[in-house]
Amino acid sequence: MNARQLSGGLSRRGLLAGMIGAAGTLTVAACGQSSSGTVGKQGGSIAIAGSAGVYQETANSVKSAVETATGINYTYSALGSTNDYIAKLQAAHGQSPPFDAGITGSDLAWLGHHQGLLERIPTGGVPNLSHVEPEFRKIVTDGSNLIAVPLGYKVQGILWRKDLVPFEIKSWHDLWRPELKKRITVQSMPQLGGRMVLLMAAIINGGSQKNIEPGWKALAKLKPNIQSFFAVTSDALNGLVAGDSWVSVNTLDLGLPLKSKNVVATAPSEGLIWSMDALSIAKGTEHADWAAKMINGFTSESLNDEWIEGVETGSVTSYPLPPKVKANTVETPALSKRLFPIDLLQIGLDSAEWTQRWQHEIAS
Amino acid sequence: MAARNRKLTDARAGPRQRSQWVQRPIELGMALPILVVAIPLVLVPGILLIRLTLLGENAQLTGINGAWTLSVYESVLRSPFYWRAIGGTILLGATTVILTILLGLPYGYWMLRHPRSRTLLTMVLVLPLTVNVVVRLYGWQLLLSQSGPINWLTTRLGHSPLTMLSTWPAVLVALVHVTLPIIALTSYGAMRQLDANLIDAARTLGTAPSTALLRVVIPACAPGIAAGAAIAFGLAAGSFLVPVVLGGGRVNTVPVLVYQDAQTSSYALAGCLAVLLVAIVLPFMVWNQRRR
Repeated sequence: MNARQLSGGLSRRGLLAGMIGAAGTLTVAACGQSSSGTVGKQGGSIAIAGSAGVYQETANSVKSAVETATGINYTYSALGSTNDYIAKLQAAHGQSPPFDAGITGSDLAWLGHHQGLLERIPTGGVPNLSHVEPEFRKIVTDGSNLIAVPLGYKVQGILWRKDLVPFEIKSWHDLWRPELKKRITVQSMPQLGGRMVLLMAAIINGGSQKNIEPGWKALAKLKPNIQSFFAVTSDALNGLVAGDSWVSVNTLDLGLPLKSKNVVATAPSEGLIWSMDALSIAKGTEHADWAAKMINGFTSESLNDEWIEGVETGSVTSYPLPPKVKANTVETPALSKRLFPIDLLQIGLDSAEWTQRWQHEIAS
Repeated sequence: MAARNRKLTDARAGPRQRSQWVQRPIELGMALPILVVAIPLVLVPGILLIRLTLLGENAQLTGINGAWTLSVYESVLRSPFYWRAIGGTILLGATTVILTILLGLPYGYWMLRHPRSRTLLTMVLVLPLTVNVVVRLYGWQLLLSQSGPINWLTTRLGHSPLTMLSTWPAVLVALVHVTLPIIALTSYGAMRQLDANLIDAARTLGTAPSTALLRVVIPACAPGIAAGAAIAFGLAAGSFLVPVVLGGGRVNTVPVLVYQDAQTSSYALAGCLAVLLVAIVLPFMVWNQRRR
């Protein structure tokens, strides 16, 4: 082997070795980044995850007020779906999670708690908790441990076009009437709205969360009336306004601004399906105390009002709401007494099985 | 004599071999940035994904220590529902490609034969690409809705309004819209390589423009068209947004099911569906590539 051959051979091998080495380094670096992910954690700030849209806008608009009140700065990361918050905490194995806290549905908070992915809320660090109504605190309490802090709740009912539907909708049972053939939109599984529709169908037909079979049978009968399963609530509202659908099982608050478009928001007589947003602290975060301070800021009176107004949600606190905010919310104390009882942990645990059955039997 | 000939051959080959030794590392270096990123980003997640699917129905992102099993593949392959979803996805991709070729080829041919209007024709294809796909989908929602212009026309003509949203045709129309520029531009690029005299000769011999396209242009440009078709098929079969926005939860393609199952932490099932789609589509892609 002469010098040139040696040099050529080494050069190619070196190049290949370099390539593999670089690829390996990149992979290791990428893995390291995903497990340690410290975006927004430097300089006393913490990282929160949550939904996009109004949640992101409101979280960003109250950011400076939270910082002024608590001295805690935060970076809000909007996730495509809040399920990703739980998935990322799972991947972090409780060590250096990519987020210190998250704003999710309370069903996801329960799921995260069940999988050991959340810290217990240090109630001593959140004195404003005393203003959160006990019945809402109870929803996210496991024994004596508070797993998340309630921020607001939303009820789902029936939005319908009074100029198109040939009768007045008062009850959930009206959805099954033949006049509504191919006119109804409901949220798709595995979104909470879809699961809640199944639960509602079970409850009004003599079943319950533990006896869900009547719900499946009722949904099979509702199938001819369902025009589409929406992924995004705004799609359903657009369809309602355009007249593509006449009825939508949807968040009632969203119907209020559409009054002038002949949209009526009805809270059915049998009871209401609902969801509650909650702030949780990720397992393994080094900044649980900062997260608690921030949560205390979020549950102060002025920021609670801003949050309720921004996210258009019902209040879970005892603070009196300003008239302007009160006028734009349907979630009154009286309505909060009519919520269907829901085991939020179980609804999360059942979601995989329900989604697969939904795909096979309802959405196909 | 033989030794002399070998020496002469070596002497002639010498500079070429030397230039290859110099060129290869340079060429490899040019491809290196992509290779360094693409190989680990395809292979490593691919291997991890396959591994996850072999850990059974309850596999979690944290639980990598389970026993190996093919149970997820078994349950998917035994289910007519999943076969329908896989078949529907492939059919949707294939129909999109066929329709796009039917529309895109004549368009590319027109661009080739009319150089003066080429800029305008290219802009017509490229401009929609500058608009975000979500915005374009909302546009389709408006067009296809009950109160949209198509139904306005339908009712003016005395027919009842058509239900177009939340159907397979709605998804197909939008996918054709998304993939049309790819087919039209790749076909046009392939046609440009063609000797124009061939088309002129065919026309001189009395063939109609459509016959010239079918019997001269398409056979000569088949490899280029096939390349565009492969990309269009991949985009259509792998599309998630279009079926979600326009399918109204009724168009259950494999990407939609993968997303829904991943949302409920059914990672093994979601991964299995993704792997099966690749396993079914990949041989066609490789075959297509080799034919060229």
